[in-house]
Order: sequence, then C-alpha cells, then structure tokens
Amino acid sequence: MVYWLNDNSRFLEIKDKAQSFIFQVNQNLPEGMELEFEGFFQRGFFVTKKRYALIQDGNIVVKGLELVRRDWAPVAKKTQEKVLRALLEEGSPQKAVRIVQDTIQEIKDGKISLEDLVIHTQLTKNPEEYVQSAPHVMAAKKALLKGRKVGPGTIIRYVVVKGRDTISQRAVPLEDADVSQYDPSYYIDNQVLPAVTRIIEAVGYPKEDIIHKEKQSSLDAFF
Amino acid sequence: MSKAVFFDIDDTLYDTSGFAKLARKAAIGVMIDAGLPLSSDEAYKLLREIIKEKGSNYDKHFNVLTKQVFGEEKPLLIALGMITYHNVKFALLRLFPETIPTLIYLKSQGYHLGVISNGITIKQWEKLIRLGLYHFFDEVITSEEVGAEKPDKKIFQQALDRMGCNAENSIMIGNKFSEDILGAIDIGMDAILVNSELSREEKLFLKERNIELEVLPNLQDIKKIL
Repeated sequence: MVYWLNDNSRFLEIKDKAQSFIFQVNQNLPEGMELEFEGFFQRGFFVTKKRYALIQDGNIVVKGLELVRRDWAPVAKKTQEKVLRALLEEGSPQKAVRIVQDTIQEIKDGKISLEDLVIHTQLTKNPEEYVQSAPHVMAAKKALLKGRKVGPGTIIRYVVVKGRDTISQRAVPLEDADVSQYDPSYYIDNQVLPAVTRIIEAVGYPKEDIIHKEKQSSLDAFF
Repeated sequence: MSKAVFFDIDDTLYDTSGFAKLARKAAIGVMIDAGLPLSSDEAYKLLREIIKEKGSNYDKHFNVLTKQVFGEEKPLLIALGMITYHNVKFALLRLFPETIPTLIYLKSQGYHLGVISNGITIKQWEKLIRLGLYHFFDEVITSEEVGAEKPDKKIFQQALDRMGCNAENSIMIGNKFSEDILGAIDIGMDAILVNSELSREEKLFLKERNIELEVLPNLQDIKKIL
C-alpha cells in the first residue's frame, strides 16, 4: 500500500463540496438563474464586482483590469505583472507599493533600456490619411521623412522623448531614439501609474503614497 | 514484534533544497571578495559542475574550484568558502513545521523510529543532532554502512533486522518515489510519499503492480493509518 500525502488534493475536495453546494442552491433559484463553479483560487482581490485578479497555482486570472493595453510599453506591463504577483503570490501590498516606487525611481534615474520603453502600434492606413495625430502616426511620419517605407500593416515602434511639444509630436521611431532622451514624466504618468494605480488603490493605498515615498510618516503610523 | 516507522532525512524531515543554493552562493561571494577572479554567476556555475562531477558528499569542492581557476589550490579561499558555506547552511537549517508534532505522535503510539538514508553515516547523525531530532530515532541506517543505496532491498532489510521488525509492521516515509517508495514496496513495506508530486508514470506503475494508492489530503490523515 502506498499513501501519498498531497495537500493539493484538498482543492479537489473543495471542488466537490462547492459543486454539491451549487447543486443545492440552483434547485431553489428562479428559472433562468444559475450558479456556476468558476474555480478555486488561493488568493484574489476585487476592485469592483467585475474587475478582479485571482491566482490559482501560480496562474493569474485578471478580469477588467486593463492587463494588456496595446499601447503600453514593456516597463508598464512588467511593473503591473510584478505588482500582481506581489499581491497574489505573497499577499504583500507593501511590496507592491515598493515595486512601483522603485520603478519610478529607476525611470527618473534614466536606468530603463530602450527595449522596455518601446511602444508598438500597427498602422491601419497610410500615415497621411490619418486625421488625428496619434503618437504612432507622428512617429510613422518621421520614419517616412527618413526614407523608410511605412504603410498599412506596418508596426510602428516608438519611444516618447523629452520636450515641450505634445506627446504625439515627441514620439520618435525606435531606430532614431536615444535612450538618454526618453521622457521620465511620460513613462511615469502615462504608462506605469495608469497600469498599477487602480490595482494598488484597490488594496488600500492612495495614489499619493505610491508617488511620494519620501513622505513623512504620520505619528499614527508608529502605533 | 515491534512496529516501526522509517524516515528519509533530506526534504522529508527538513527543508534541504532551498538552502544549499543560498549557502553556495554566499560562499562564492566571500571567495570573490577575497580575490577569486570570476563573476558570481561564473563561479556558481563552475561549482555546480564540480558538485555534479564529484557528488554532493565529496568534501573538497572548493579545493577543486581554486585548482581549476588558479592552477593550484588556494588555502585561504578554500577555508573562507567552507566556513561561509557551513555557517549559512546551519543558519538556514530548518525543520518542516509538522516534523516534531508528527514524531511525538508516532512515539506516543509506540512506534520505533528509524532513518534510512543514502549518505555518509556521520553526516546523517550530524543532521539529526543539529536539527534537535536525534533522541527520537533508534537507528540510522545509511548506504555507507550497508554498501547499497535505496531502493536496494539490502538497505531496507538491514533496517528491519536492526530494529527487530518485519516489513508488514513497518512503513517508510520519504520524498523520493524512485528511492524511498520503490524500495519499501519491493520489500513489502507500506510507504508514504511526502513533499512531492506523483507523476502519471508513477501512478501507472503502481496500478500495473496492483499496489493500492491512497491520497491523504492532510497531514492529520496520517493519524488514521498510524
């Protein structure tokens, strides 16, 4: 006889229990309403009823939290991923906040590489046919001026650099970008913060705490 | 006839896997500070190759490392590496939280407890002493003494003989299917697999040999069988 001490089998037990519970509830629900077993998750948090993140055996399931937005640079995606892992795997909002603060500092210090800053967007028509001047359109026009071929279907890779113009005007094709020229404010305010604030606010940290890490602790914090 | 429970040590009674790497990295860090001309990654990779080649029970890994790098052994670096490795290892040596309560329970049920381990006898006792566990165990049977490693029947047979038990009254607890579990069932003992996954092939293997498999979802369930 071989016994296998396997804590994971508890999940199966939970599934059994959940399903028999659901079966009972469904018998008493009005017609057209039904409860379903979605899964068993070790940890999760809800921003609203329909926006949440859950984890099961290391796999993160996210609903409604803008996990993937096409116009996000890798630095934003990676930071969001790390924040979710800190919350879901380690249950540590403090660590999540620290990750964001550290990333912001790295961005300010110019330590981010071009490949983490580059944003990919596909052109759907020729650059001159666009009425609006989105960043990728402006970058595409700059590429045209340099004699490169761009048209419908081309994926434009660009970086936003420092300057006084609008963001769109400051979008530079990756090939022409100089890493020392990237705009920290844009990557902090338009990339990293939008990717993580809603998540971090949901676990009880106001946005201000994330940005101002040098903020003095209030006296209450010591008790 | 007395009844016995046999344990494997590493990753069964205490958590081995995590700390060895940390201890090796710390040792390398100190050696680099003292002049080993490699990056941390290079040195760790080299050390791992040496351990793989010489086996983890070989006691001169750092000698080989310095010899390979400098063409001769460097006593200061070797000593620094050894001391750091041991200090970090012992600082990190930890029992699983369930270990002691389980051992106390087994003792209260009148079981004799033994260790069956592939390794060097004195090292295994050292672990039990450092972990504060040695009073629990009547016998430590090692591959060094027996001249055969788990899953060889010989080591299990000698364990039974020395404890004065027969296979039907004994059970083996370990984390390695290919050593602990296979060896036990070969000699007719029951076995409990802990801290490990059971692969499809392994499940199939048990099925083909008509060996019953029961999943215990909780450590407390051990009390139902022991």
